[in-house]
Amino acid sequence: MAVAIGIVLMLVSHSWAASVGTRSLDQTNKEIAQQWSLLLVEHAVLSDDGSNATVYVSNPGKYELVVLRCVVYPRGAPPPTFSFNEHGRVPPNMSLVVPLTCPVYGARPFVIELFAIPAHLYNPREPSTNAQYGVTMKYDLEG
Amino acid sequence: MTSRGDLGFSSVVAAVFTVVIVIAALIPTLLYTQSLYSILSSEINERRRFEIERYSEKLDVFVLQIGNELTLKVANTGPISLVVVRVWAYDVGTGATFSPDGPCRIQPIAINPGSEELIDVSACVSGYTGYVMFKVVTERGREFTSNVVGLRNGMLPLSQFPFTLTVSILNMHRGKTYTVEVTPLDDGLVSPRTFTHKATASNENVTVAFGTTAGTFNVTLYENNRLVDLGDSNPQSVRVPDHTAVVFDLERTVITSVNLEVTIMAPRRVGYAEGREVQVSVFVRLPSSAQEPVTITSVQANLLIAAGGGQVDECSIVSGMDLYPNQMILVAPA
Repeated sequence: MAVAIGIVLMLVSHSWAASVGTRSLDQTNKEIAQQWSLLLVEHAVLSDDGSNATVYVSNPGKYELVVLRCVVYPRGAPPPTFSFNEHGRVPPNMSLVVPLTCPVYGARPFVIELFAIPAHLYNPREPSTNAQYGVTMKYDLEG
Repeated sequence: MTSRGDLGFSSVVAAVFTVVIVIAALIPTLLYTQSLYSILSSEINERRRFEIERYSEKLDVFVLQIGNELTLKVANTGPISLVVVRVWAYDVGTGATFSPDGPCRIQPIAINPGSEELIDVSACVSGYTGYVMFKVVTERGREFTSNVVGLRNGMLPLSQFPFTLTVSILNMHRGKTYTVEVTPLDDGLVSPRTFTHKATASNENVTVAFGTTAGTFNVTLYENNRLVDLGDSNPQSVRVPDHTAVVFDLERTVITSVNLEVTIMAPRRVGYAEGREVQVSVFVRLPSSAQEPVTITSVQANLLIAAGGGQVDECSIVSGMDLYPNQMILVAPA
């Protein structure tokens, strides 16, 4: 009887330890991924009719990023709200510059706002999952 | 049968085993968590080091014309090595790139501290006429831009100073000497650096032109070698070619012209007698409403004529003197 209780106790404590370890590892990985989520706007240009902008972005970080939000709106104004949408994937280590087409609201002077999340934390069915590990970047659109 | 002593001993053994089992699970968990924390700390340190290195990067980008090639001279003036991964060229007015894909050059170029590299960008702007800016992007994600350059058919114009900065001085004070000084605040060039003008009339306006390259300049106005107090308007900082005109309005009251009052002093009546001489004096007076003194620059002597058979034998005139409001002076004793 005592041996049986001991085995049960051992299994319970080991499963708890495994669970804590897994959660800690998962959390650490997410925080490291967030640390290395970097996005650079290399260039941006408005379309002829001013309804959208082509924003060229690259990624100096370590992990591929998924851009879920890209919007151009007047500097100082509240950003327009809309749901997350996959605008593009940006590979790490500055290996590629990716052109994104972003909607433009209002009038100059403009600011570009981007929200990106590490690709391995992105769930296409539930884009808002792990959104707390994403990064928001704002850039002034010159000209 | 089990004695009370055996039961007590078993309970102690069970308790010890329970503690051993719990500790056996807890200690590896703690060690594992500790190792994860140390990995996270190490990543945070690496990220911080990356950021420090990133902001230590420093590149100077110059646009040169070497023969038929338009070239970027990229000098690493920072303390660490870096890698240029992309070069952009775009129209300053519209922001449009010259390559449909975006960047005009994508071959990585490593540059050591203190070194410089020449990058041929002729193909990026081939045949283009207009104002262009070049941007260099590094592997750590920094961007460095050149000055704005004016191109003609994809080449730098021969003139050393492709831009003209005009400086206007409005409502100058007559007789005072004005000096405009243009000082580069970055690596821009200007010629000449100073211009001096003496105002010969009230409320005189003058516009002078300076040849410049692209850059930021401080434009300062001096009156008789003293800085003119125009608040924030003097000195003015301008970035060429974004702005190519500077106006200094001295905001003096506009001077309204008034007529001089002429007074002729002569005998009321002169009897005719051959050989008799009559003296006539001509005075001018500046009305008290005049806002500033004037200088009598000349008097036309031939305007004085004698009617009724007389003749003007001698007419001496006086000029070159200053006349103050409400002052009268003799200009022509005849």
